[in-house]
Amino acid sequence: MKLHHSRIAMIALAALGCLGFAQIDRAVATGPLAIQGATIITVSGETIANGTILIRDGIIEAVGTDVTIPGEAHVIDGKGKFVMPGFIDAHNAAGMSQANEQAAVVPFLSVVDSIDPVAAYFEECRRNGITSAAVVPGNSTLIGGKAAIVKTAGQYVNDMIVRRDSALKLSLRPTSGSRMSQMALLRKELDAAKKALETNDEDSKDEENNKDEEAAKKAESEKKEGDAGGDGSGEEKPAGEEPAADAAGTGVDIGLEALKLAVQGKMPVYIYCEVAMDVSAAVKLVEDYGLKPIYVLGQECYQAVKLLAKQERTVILDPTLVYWKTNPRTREDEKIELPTIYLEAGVPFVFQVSESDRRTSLGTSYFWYQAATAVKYGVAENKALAALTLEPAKLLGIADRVGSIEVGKEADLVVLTGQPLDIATWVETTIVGGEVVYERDTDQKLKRLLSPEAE
Amino acid sequence: MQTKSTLTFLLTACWLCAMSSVATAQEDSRTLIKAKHIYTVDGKVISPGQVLVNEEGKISFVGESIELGLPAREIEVDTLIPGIINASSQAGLRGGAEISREVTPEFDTASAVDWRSRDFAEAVDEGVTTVQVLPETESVFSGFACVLKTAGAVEQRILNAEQGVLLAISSDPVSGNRSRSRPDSIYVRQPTNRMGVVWIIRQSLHQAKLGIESKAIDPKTTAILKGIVDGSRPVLSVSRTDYDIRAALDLGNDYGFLPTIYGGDEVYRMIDEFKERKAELVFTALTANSAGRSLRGQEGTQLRWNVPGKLHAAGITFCLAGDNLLAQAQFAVRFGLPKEDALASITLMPAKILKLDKRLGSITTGKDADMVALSGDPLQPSSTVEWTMVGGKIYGNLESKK
Amino acid sequence: MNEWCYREPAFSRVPCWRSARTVTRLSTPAMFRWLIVLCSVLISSSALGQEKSPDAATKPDATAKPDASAEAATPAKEQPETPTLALVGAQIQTLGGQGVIENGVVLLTGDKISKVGGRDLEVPTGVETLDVTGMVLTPGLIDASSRLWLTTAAANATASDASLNVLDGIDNYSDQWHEVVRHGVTTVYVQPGRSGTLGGYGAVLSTVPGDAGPTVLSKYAALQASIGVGAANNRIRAQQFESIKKAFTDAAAYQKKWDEYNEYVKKKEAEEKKAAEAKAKVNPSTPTPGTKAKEPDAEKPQSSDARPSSTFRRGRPGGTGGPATGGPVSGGPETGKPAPQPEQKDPEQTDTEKKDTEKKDTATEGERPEVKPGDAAKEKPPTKPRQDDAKERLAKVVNGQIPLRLEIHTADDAHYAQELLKEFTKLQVVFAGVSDLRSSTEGLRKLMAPIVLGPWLSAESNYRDDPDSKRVWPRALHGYDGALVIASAGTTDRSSRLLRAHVGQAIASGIDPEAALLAVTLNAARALGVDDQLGSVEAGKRADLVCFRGHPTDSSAKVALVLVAGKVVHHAKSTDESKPGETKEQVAASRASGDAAELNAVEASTIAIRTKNYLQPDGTTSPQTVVIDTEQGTVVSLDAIDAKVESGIQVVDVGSAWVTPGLFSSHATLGLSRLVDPQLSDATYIDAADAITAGFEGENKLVREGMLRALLSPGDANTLAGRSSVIRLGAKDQVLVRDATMKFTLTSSARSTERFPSSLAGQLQLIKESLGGQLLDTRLYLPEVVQQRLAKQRSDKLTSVASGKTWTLLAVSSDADIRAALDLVEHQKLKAALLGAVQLEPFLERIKALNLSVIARPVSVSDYNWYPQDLAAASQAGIDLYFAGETAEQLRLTAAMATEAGMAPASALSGLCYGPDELLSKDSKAADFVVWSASPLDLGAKPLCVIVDGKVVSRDKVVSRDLEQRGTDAN
Repeated sequence: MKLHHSRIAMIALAALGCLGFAQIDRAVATGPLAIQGATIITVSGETIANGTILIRDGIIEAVGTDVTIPGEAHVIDGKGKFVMPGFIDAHNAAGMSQANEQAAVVPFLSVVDSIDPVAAYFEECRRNGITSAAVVPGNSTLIGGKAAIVKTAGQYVNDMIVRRDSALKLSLRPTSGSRMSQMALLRKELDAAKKALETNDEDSKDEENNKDEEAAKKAESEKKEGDAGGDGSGEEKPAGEEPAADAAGTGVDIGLEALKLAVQGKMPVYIYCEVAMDVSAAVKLVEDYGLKPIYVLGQECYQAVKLLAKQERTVILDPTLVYWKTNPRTREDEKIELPTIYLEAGVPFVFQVSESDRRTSLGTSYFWYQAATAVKYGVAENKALAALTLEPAKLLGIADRVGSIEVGKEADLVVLTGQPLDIATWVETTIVGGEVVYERDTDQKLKRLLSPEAE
Repeated sequence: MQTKSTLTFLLTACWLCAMSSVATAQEDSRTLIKAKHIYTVDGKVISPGQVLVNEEGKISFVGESIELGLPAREIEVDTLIPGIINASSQAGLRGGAEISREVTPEFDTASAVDWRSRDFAEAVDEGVTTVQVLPETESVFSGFACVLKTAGAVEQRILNAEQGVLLAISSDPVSGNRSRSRPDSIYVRQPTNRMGVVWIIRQSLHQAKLGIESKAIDPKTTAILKGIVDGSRPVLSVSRTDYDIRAALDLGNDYGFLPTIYGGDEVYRMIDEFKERKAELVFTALTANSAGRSLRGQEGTQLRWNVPGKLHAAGITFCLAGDNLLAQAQFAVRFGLPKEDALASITLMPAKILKLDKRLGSITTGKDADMVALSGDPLQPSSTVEWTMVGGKIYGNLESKK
Repeated sequence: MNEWCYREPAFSRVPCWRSARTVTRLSTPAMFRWLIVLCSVLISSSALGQEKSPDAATKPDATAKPDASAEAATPAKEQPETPTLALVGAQIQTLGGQGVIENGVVLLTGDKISKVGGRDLEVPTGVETLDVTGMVLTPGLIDASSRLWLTTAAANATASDASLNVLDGIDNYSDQWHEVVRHGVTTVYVQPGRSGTLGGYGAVLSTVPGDAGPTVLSKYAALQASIGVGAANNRIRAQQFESIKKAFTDAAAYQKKWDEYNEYVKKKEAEEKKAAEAKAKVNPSTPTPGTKAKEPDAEKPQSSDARPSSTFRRGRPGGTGGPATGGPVSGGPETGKPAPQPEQKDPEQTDTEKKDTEKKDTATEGERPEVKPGDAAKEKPPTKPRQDDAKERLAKVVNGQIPLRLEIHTADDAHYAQELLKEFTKLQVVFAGVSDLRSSTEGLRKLMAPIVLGPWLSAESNYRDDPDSKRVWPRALHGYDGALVIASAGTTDRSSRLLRAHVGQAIASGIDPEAALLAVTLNAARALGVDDQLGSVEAGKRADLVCFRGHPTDSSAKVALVLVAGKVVHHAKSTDESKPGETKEQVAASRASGDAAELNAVEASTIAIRTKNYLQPDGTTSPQTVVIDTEQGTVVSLDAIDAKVESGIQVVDVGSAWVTPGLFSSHATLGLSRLVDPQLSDATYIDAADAITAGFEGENKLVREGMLRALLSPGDANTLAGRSSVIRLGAKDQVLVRDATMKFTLTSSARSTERFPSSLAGQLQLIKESLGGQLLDTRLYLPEVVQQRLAKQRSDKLTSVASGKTWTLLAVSSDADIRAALDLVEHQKLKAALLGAVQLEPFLERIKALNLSVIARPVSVSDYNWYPQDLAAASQAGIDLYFAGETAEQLRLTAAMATEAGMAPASALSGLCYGPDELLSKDSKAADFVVWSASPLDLGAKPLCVIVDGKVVSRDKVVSRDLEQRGTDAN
């Protein structure tokens, strides 16, 4: 019931908020769009000096130095500017309200029901060149629900969705009791899901299992054609009222769907590891249940870096990339440089940012700053840039649509005033799906921040 | 990787050990540093250039190149800048705030500094060679600020134990209030609001001015207060909102001193006035990735990004202070402060404000050999601090990290 | 390998993630890993649910093996014969068949012991040899109840459905094992929280981790259970009992379903076979359909049933060792037969109606009539039960394949435990806790199950019930012939490092030293079901070995060498002044207590005590005769041991028992920690001696434990805390030295937000001002005269401090405090001692330079090894070191740990028994002595008798009985 309310409120907000960039939409709503004479960092291929990008119907139609621009095209002069694929935020809970559910096991929840298109987060994203973001349930629920990948511009959630139910979120950080009991509960749930599947295969007499099977199929198909009708999640809410039933692991409810897909390896699983021991636990889970993991790592997880190297997967690092700690046992001070450690261990990684409203984190709340920090500690610049764009796209399984500047890919682009990792570089224009969704000259908030005249 | 690890540990693991082991490497020898770029900050950028450091840990030559008479060990670096100075630090400060009294100007902050604290290791790692440690601001007259080197033999690290008396003209002393908690307490904590804070300052300074001796205040305190009113003792005031800053400056007018303002988050509301009053500002609002140990107020001040730029435009003497000073300078540039001024605002300007520019703040012959070697442009976030030299001794590793 | 070895913190610069590589190189050898695989197969792991059955299928040979010891043996055979390492010259306490071997030789091959023998056992040329002459070599110590690698949350996690697995709570990346292994503890048992009714499975781990986290020696070593833990009344007990019973019954029922199913499948196959043969007679080339399909189903659970495990042989071990490799000590229900009872079925069981109502336990099936083949054919076939790993494992517990670690405390708990064992006769129980049985242990004795006792240090005591339980245990369990196991049962993840101290306490409270050593080696191994790999120095066992300089159970004896799986993991610097290795005889002798008993029956007015070990002020011992005037309570003379004594003087020869003045606590508040001025920071007018009265609470206990003198000080709430005096305990005239010292407090405990000072700076200012003569206004509402007298007193004291006449105690803790204290001493030229510093290492030079004494705070359970090492370093640097403590245990533990870490025993003894010279009153002739069974540094030594003012005030009741026993043993 409560959820319904928030939904309504959300839509109302959306309606209000969309006025914000409505006129921008109109400016380039129709016809092709071209960026001319810019340095194009395609990420996937060579960097093109003085190149041109032609966009039609939200798709990159042509990239190169000898692209002829149709007369009707709206042209952006890219002289002296740098164009990059839009940045991609691989894991955040900021795009939604109330990221964490109190109940420990809520695999049936979906962030789609809680995404607020006018949230300050999305505005910040556009201001900072982030064009796609995976909105994921928080780190404080054992089985937190289903994540969704969205574009950072749109008036309604459904306009934004790149992939609904893109992944399931597990968090190994104990919220109540110990890791031991949490693991017991988690395994119980996963076992339940597996049993349900097995019995499906064995005998189709059992009707409850039939239901599961269909449900599984349905969810699967839903998953396939990304943003088809969002009612599925709507129906799931009632199931949400009795999480106890799921905790019992009786395969009666459709709550098991997500878990089933997870144990079939059909739905990726975000696994948040707070400390190193969680990593080994996570790896064990992945082996035992054949999960398709996306490791989200806390600061201390670097201790398990060798184990992570064996997994040969791209991991998501903690927003704090460099910190100090003192080992009480050896009385030694240690400076921990995460980029160095993961680089030396050969573990590919992408970044997270800390919430931008935290005054203490002027630096780590920007993706470009994180990348610069990585470069500072020895990562090659092109690798660092890929970690902002193509790498997360691959990690999220949307590299076929976004993440690099290639013909046929969606036109999610960011126009920069200078070298991407230069301190003085600003986002000039942000383009999502071929539409300009941010322009620096019309950014009132930025103006206010930069021109501190008495008010 | 091995060298890397040894580096990390020389620099960061057991602090003393790092000092000794690296220090012993070059006992009282002369050092010649050859750099691709030297930002001297006293007006010129020499590229390429050379700096000679003599046995006393002073800079004995700066220029294009020098003919060496005596031998000296040679080090090559990419970029060299003066040691960074943090004018508003809490490094090593231990033992809590003296909140049992409001008027404790005689408090000797240096005596509560833990020299082995990790804070200094972190400071050196960030290229900071000098810090001014401010006492906690829970008392109206918080005590003496002291200026320290971040490395070296403890006895030589204190540059000035009584740099100035710190006033907290802000919400800080009020927040520490205890007056209601114990009615029987013989020490009742006075100020419960800003007015109270200001009143306590007026009262004590007034008494000092009139030379009123009272049994309640101990003579040392009175002496220091006298020093303030006759202008012989510099005054620092932690003030963040525009009205606090104004109050501080007004008090100064009334009692004949000109406080240096620390904090100044909302100075942009009164830039012209501030300029007229010729006050100096240590700006701590622009903290980037703060480890959280720099002074914070409860006023809930709004951060504006380009305050440094405006201050510079208005020609106000100011410096940046707090944690991650290089990052602060970088963001100051991003937000509109010219590069050279950004660099000065963390080296020469703080030295000026601390009245130590004879000794510190720039790569100039005769000054202390406090320098930072970087892998590239100091104002780019991707440049690393290779090593930090304090008083002619190098902390860090000599081979480049990259 | 060197980086990998334990090194003193000062040298180790390798953080976990960097040292990891080197660890890899030394990960557990393949053959040992095979063993692990094996036991994970043996105990069908639920974690690997789906891949279990193929597993079982692929390793039929393993599952077929009847006896676990065979498994340990086979790899041993496969080994190449050439040894890799030899330990030569030690006195080997094998704790196995070979008993004690003087000057023995141990040959290691890989991670196993290949040969053990005397000097005659020749070492093949070219084999790396370690000379451990003069040391005592034992198997690695085993802590049967530890928290190593457990996060606090995990260590407290509880459940009542056996759902937990401790391996899920292991922090593989914790580096605390360094702390533990360095003390000779090479194996630990960890389990879920102790208060869970039926928590989950514990595991046996090696204290040296492999590549990714700890090496698991036994995965499902036991099932944690408890009855009556916490404030349990009988109703709750009943509930706990019932819930356990319920769980077991269900498991048994589950097991039965499978058995029936298998039974049915077997019969069916048999029939099909017959049919097939019959057919074959007609036409030989017909395959038998169905059989193939069935086989795996039939095989899996059956194998899980037939699967034996090392726990088979736990049986009921006797109290005193014996060869470990020799099978079950005394039967037990299952004697390792591959085919367990559940196989035989009877008709009515197989019919399904009865099955559900079936409440009887599988054990009762044995008595039933044997089933006739063929009946099954007529019955309707039982449906294949659902595979449930949890239930399956629980069934193993019921069948005694996995032991039950049952914590009980009161006699009532014990009663329920017996009920449980009546219900489920095959249950293998290992008892823990047992803190409150008093003397009613008949029940337990009947069960003769192994029993894990701990913690023995009161510092660690985590039992609500009876703080003195460790005193009760030996008497309560007198004549208990189950296996006694001693464990640290600590409260922190590194508590196991105190295991030897616990053993010492056990001995001091009456456990025989040999039994005590057994209790942390072989018996522990048995109780954990790993005695096929561990617990004694015997060929074929895992090469976990420890060498001590001194007796293993003496916690002040240095741990010189620790090997785990054949690798040296700790090697103490040989250049240390720790005791020369004692041979077993010497130890035994030093523990023999002469005729100390006689001291009770002294009539004469003057007695002469002859001892081989009289402790001199410098900490050395010499043979001496102490002549005491019991009337006057004074020492008449101190003569050579063979000095003639005139007639009328009763001579008591205590043999090699130690005679020392009582323990000296160089700082104690003795319950006066509240002795402070709540209002004013200046409490210089307080004199602690005024506040104490003879016979205060706990005095007798202290005297009994041998603590006879203390520097009594006021509490820590005032910066100028007041004056301390040296007092005697249990004596007529209490105060020995009045106003011995002035105490200043620089710790945060003296900072109050309510008054000045509230900061370190303020504290310093106050002290400086006070020493400078300007006193704080006392604001005590007293008559003017009194005010003035007080003021006078205070200024006098303070001036005498300032002038360096009076000794000053500077109470500190954090680094900042210490630095401030040092500055204070430097500037004020004080004569002072540093009290309670958290760490010393960074300040040694300055402390030495300022010629300060150090009064060491007691070692706490949360301390790291660097603290005792700091103390040792300080002492070696020539700094006078004394010990603060409220109890004898604290004083002795701290001294013992410091000695172990390399402090000269003499210095430790001197500091422990004589205290600071400044505080000794030279003219005191009072005859206060404690007669110890051995050096007081050995926690195993107990006060045989305590003499105050020349009179025997206390003697340990146990002593006489021990003496009698020894007497009888001798004859």
